[in-house]
Amino acid sequence: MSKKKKRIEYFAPYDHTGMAAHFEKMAAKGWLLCGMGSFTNTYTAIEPADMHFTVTYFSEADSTDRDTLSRYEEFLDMCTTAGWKLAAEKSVIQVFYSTAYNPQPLETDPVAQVMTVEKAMRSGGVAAWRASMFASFCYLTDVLWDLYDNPVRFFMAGNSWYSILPWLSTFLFLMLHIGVYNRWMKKAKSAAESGLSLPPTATNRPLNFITVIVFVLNIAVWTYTYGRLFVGILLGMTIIVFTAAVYISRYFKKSGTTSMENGFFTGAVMVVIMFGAMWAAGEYTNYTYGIQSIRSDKTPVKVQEYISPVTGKKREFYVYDDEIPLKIEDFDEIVYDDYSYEYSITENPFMTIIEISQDTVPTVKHRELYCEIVKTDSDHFYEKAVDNFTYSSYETESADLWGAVKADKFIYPRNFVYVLQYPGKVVRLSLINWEKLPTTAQRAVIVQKLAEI
Amino acid sequence: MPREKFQTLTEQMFYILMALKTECCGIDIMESIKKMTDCRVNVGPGTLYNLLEQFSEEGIIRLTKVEGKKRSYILTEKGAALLEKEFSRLQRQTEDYRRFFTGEC
Repeated sequence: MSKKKKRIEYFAPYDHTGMAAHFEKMAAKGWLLCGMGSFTNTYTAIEPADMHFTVTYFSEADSTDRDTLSRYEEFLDMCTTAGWKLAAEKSVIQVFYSTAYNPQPLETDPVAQVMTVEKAMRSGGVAAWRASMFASFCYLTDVLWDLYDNPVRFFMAGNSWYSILPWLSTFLFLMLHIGVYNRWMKKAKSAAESGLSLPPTATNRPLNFITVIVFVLNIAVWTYTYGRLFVGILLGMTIIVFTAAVYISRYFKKSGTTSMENGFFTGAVMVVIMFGAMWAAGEYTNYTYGIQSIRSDKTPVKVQEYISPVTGKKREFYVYDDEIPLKIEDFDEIVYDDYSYEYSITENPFMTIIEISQDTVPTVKHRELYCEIVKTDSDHFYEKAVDNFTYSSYETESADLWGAVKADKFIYPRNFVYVLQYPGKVVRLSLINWEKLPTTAQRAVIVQKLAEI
Repeated sequence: MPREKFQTLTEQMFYILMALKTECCGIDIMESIKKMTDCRVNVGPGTLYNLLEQFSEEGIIRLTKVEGKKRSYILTEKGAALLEKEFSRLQRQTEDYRRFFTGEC
């Protein structure tokens, strides 16, 4: 069996001279290209040889249409007749090699070559880049607005300040890629018009290298931020949606729709599939209850099943046993011994968010405690934290009772919520299923505990 | 400013269309051009195939038959007119050259 190796390599699809030069170098080192993936290329071991490589584009090479396939096969035959062998192919790209000293070029007319590259890129690479750039821009705008408008909610939703990095880097790099491609295309057209050969594209190698790094870093950041399960679901959904899109687009193409109709219908079906996939993910992974309930840092001590009073479906409640700095037994007796204790600290350059919870299965009505604390030195984020915790229905509470600078409360039968403002610290304390308001003595214990956090 | 598609023809486009005066397939076109130009013009398979596709899309040539993997094409009326127009353009260029260098203008 011949020895093979896979290398992480990325080339922009139009970078034909860059690819050819790289594969020639690899052949001289004893590695012949035999397979191409999105971010990897596979090589097979050979005797080091001086080979010529050339890259061509057949814009419908990935079609399943019999007529197109037969045209593609004839095209490959003609290239073979001209003395070239197919090394590997990917989507609209074909890479040929020849061991002849001076093989007949496959592309002999720069004007035709520019048209070919432009057509192939329109149906492949550039269209996908533009769509991804638009999607990343929309998400980035949404995230940045959320970060500005409600930073506490943003960070409490499990995001971190660096979770914008994948979207920011994706947007910037796609913009850069499109810019570099447009610049090259402009130069190429001008060269072809003047009867000159197309300018080389190999100068984009550093950009291609950075793209691989950005891709790997993005996956790492996502995994670190949201956990492996979330990234797995996200990648799975992306693969399902994009694979479906390819087949749907082909179906509409065969049905004789225009490219605009094709784009519209494919987009509409993709949205339906995406929501379907999200619903399915929710059904089977508790996603709808927030992926954060499945913690990646700790295994629950117990899983309790219950029937959701809202949907009537079976759900799971995870019981954790974190050490928490403020718990019900600190200031009152408890009659229930199956609480889940959870404690988390989120730190970022803007604030520290501490979340404490002592809760029960949603169908069990015992006293529960939730405490969210935002610590920050910034007046802006302090105000945002107060805004986030306080609603218009809240009434002013005596700050002295809590040893606070300012206090608000929301009193509802069996549910008491207090928003307490201390210097550099905003606290929202929620007492759920509580029979009566906390006494002065109980408040004193809570204030003392809060001061230690 | 980029020129309009096929408003003028490159040398290779010109010879491909000439070869398609009679029905022929890709390999025959390549051979025919070599013969017409004494091997001066060589059309690469990549260029040929993509041009055939584009000509076909523009109605400049049409597919006449498919035999296995072999596909044959022939020039359409639109294609013949385009070729004629290009020929006239080249002829005018030649005449301009002659007039200029023989001092007729």
